[in-house]
Parts: sequence; structure tokens; C-alpha cells
Amino acid sequence: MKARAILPMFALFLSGISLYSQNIALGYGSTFANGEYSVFDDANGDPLDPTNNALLVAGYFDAGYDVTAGVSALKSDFTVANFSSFVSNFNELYSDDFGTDVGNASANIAPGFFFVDVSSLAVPAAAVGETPYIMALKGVTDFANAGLATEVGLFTDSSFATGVDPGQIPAGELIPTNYSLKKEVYSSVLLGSALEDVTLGAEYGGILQGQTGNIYATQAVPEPSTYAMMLGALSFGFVYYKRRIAGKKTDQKQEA
Amino acid sequence: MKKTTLVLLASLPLVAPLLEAQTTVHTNPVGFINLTIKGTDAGKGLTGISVPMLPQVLYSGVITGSTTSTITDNNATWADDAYVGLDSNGTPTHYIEITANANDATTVGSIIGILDSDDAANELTLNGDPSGLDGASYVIRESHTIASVFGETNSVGLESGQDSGSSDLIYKMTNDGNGGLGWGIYYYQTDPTGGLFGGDGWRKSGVSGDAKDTVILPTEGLIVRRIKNTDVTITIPGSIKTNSSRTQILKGYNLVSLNYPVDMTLSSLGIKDLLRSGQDSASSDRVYLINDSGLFDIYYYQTDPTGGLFGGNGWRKSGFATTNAENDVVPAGHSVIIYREDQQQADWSIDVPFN
Repeated sequence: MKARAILPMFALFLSGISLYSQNIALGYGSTFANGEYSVFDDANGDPLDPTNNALLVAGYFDAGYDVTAGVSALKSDFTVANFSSFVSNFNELYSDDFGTDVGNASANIAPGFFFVDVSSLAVPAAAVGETPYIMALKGVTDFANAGLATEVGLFTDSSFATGVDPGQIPAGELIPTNYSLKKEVYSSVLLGSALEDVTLGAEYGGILQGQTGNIYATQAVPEPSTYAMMLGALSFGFVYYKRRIAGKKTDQKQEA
Repeated sequence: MKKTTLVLLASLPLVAPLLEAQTTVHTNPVGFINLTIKGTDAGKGLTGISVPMLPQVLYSGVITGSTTSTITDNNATWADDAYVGLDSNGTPTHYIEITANANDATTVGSIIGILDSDDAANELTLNGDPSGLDGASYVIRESHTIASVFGETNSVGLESGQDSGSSDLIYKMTNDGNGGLGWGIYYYQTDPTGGLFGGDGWRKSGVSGDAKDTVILPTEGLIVRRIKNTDVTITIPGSIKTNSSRTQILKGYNLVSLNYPVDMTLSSLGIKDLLRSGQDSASSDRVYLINDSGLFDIYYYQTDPTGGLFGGNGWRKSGFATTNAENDVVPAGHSVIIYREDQQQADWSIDVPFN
């Protein structure tokens, strides 16, 4: 009799693993709430839109990766190589190139104001329970090339890590659970900058001009040429320093 | 608790002669059905719905010739390009349904979309293969749409916000025929900005433009996710199908309607023979039914390889391997999801469940 009871339970346990397809309905990016619009800019203050070669990514970092420490280390030594290494820890859930395919999966309905809605997205097992981030990249339109971006912004919100609405990345269900990362205010700007509660100018188009907005902007990823110049300058300075030292030693020798 | 109410307003002759020779119009029993969309007060706010009330017949006749993509009706009186249109998903707005076929009863209930109509040739071009249907009786109807079921301006009162995250959602499933599952998500948008989001109206999540004319095929079920705690009732008038129904079941998940506005049971669904049967739900094809709590009850037809150790053969609800579930009710107006593993498409037929 015991076996009769246990076997069906065991069968149920096994079956419970694979009875559903796991999907979420993902939304992220700009929104309008509480009288404010959230928009995305580049480092020069120009709105990101279909014309300027940029990408908005929703994603998560590898489990166990210390994001705060990673950002801190990157900021202290912001090189292309270090940035490329940093983004290699980031995994995309979904990305869209600021609405160049308007009418399909995304909507860029005013410069800088861009959101993405994905009706059905299978959630990778590694993503479940992780904190989501919004990454804006300029200079690339494919996340595979993220390491080549010329500018980057990284934003998240405290509710993404601890809240229940939306909270951490869910496993999803057969009927896609709604998971919206659209915020009018992102509480945390890890890379880039934020300008909140400002009056939006004409560059955001006639509809948003004069409205109250929160601007989330990318920051430049230092270009190798910049580093070459800096290295050149440092080399020149080092040579000059060495010559001065050498000169001083010569003088000292002559004095002796 | 029964959540659906069917009221028959009148029972009319099934076939009434028309002025045109050999042309008939079917006048089915008419009435309405009330569908209750459950709120979140006692569950997760999910409701599976069918639209079993049929739109009016626009034309009826007898097929006098057929190819793999066309039918001819020598007595046709339709205008050129009548009954032709595509919705934003590319689905034909009108369809033919085979209502009788003395040559092959298994074709009755078949539904095929109309792509073109030609008055000179008395020909309809279809998006399926109608070959061999010569002699069959058919009707033409316009499919229900999001607007015809939920109201052009959301008169049923679903929760409406600026985006899918702040609105009640209507889910339409897509199946690519190879087991690939997709969802179209629809909601009624109320634009809080005075135009930035494109104004008020029905929208498909992630797609710009008006979605009110999105076709709901007669064989297609819907799922509604309500985000408010109150129930919403939808009243749908129409006529009642009086011939058997036929639904194509593809590999993978199929969200299908129940075409008759009466309660059914798992047994009376008549789908057992189309489904893979194993010793448990994981090794069987499955029927998913959303219960009053907005959760799935998952059913399968169990074949006990031990002769009784697993609870014997028969319909089972997942988790209750020893309890016969063949009389568990699928309420009128509900949809079901059928998961089928076999790559081969199957035709699921239900005979008229009333006299």
C-alpha cells in the first residue's frame, strides 16, 4: 500500500518539472508616470533615437558577480579593455536598437523616449532570481558587440532587487507573466548620469517639449586613441622627467 | 458555481429556403452567453474564454467544384471581392465552414479562411486546401474580432492603462506548427498624455496601430488576465452551432475554444484518442483548464503500465493519479489549452452536444 501512495507522488514530482513553458511578457525603458517622462540621452545631451546608433538592453549580471565592485573598479580604470571585460559579465534578456524597427517590437515615439514590449520571452534558468539592469549603449546596435560601445549607461531600481513589483527576474509561466521594468525614475545610476525633474527642451520633439522629465544619459567609454594620446603624453613626460633626472645627475656630477 | 448563462431567444428552422435557387441560408438558434472574467479577489485573475456564439451567416451554398486552394459555387451571387480582408496579423476576416457533406462527414465543421472572391468565376480562393469538398454545403461568416467581443471602445470595462503593464490583458496564442509557442497580448490603451502613446484604443503589445479588428477565429480560445479584484461580465449574442465542430491540433500548445455554449466534461470532449497517454502527466499529452482561482488544472489520460499500481487507466488531474476525472466539467464559454507531442497535425471533432 505504501508503494501505491509513493509512486504517484514521485510521478507528480517528476511531471511538475516539465509541464509548463516558462515565459514572461517583458517591458522596459521609458514611461510616463506621476506627471514625469523618463528619457535616454547620450553623453552630449542628445536624445537617443533611431538616428544615432544605440542599443537599450534589459539584462542581468552573472550570478555571484559583485556589480558594485565591478563598477567601482571600472570607474577607477576606465579603459576599453576593462569595459569589455565588465560587459562580458552582463547577459541580455532582450535588446533593441532604439526603435529602428518601429511598429515591430518597440516604440520610439519621441526622441529619447523609448520603450520595448516583448509579448513572450523565454527566461533562461540562469536569469531567474537575478536583479535586472537597463543598459544603454551607444555606437553599437547588437549586444554581441557591446564591448565596442563608445558610450554606456547602466541603471537599475531598488525595487528590481527587493520589491515585488516587479522584483527580481521571475521564472515565467505558460501564460506570460507581466514583468515591467519601465520606470519614470531609476533609483540607481551605476554608469552614466541622471538629470531628474527637469523641463524637457525642443530636442525631445514637440510632444515632450516643456514636459517634466528624468534624463538618463550614457557616459563616454574612453577611446583607445584617447589612451594613446594619454600614453603618449605620459611617455613624453616620462622621457622629459628622465632627461631632467639625467640632467640633474650630470649637473651633480659636474658640480662634484 | 456556474459562471456562464445561456439564453436561447428563439429556435428557428435550421434551413430556410431563399429566393435564389439552390441557395440556402442557415438560421441557427440564437441567444447570448454571459462570460465572467474573474477578478483577483479570489485568484490570479486568469480566465480562459471561448466565444461560442456565432456571427450571422453572410452567405450559404453548395460547393460545385474545388481545387487545392479554391472552391466554386455555380449558383454563387456574391460580389467581386466580397468577404475579403486581412487583419493586422494577416488572418482572413471571413471564413467558410462546411456544414454538411454527404460524401465525407469527417469534413463537417472544417473552417477555412477566405483570401479572395471572384464573382465572374463564382470562385473563392481560400487559405487552406478544400479539394474534395464537391457537394458539401457551406456558410460564410465574418469572424469575431477584439472589438466585436470586448467592444470597440472597451464597453465591457476591462481595466485600461497607458500600456500592457497597467491594463487587463487578452492573450492570443500562436503555434508555428513545430511546437513553437508565441503569444499576442492585447489591451485597451488609455493614453494619459493626450497623444504620445497614439491615443486611446485596442493595442497589441509591442506593435503600434489599432488592433480592434484583430480576428478571433471560431476555433480559437482566449485567456484574459484581469488586474482588478472585481469580476467583469461579457455578454455575447449570436447563433449556436448546430453541426459538429472541427479544430486542428498542432504539435505543442494549442489554445482552443469550445464551440458550443454548454458545459462539457473531459470525457465528452472526445479528444482522448488524439492524445498520447502515459503513466503520468509528464509522459502524456495534456489538457490545461484554468480554474476559478486562475490556476491551471492539468489533465491527462493515464495508461497504467502496472495494471493498477499507478491508479489505473482513465482521465486524471495531475496530482490525483487515482481519482477518475472523466466527469470533471469544462464550463460553457471556457477555453482549454491542449498540449500534443506528436508532429502530425490532428483534427479534433466534437459532435453537437445537445438535441
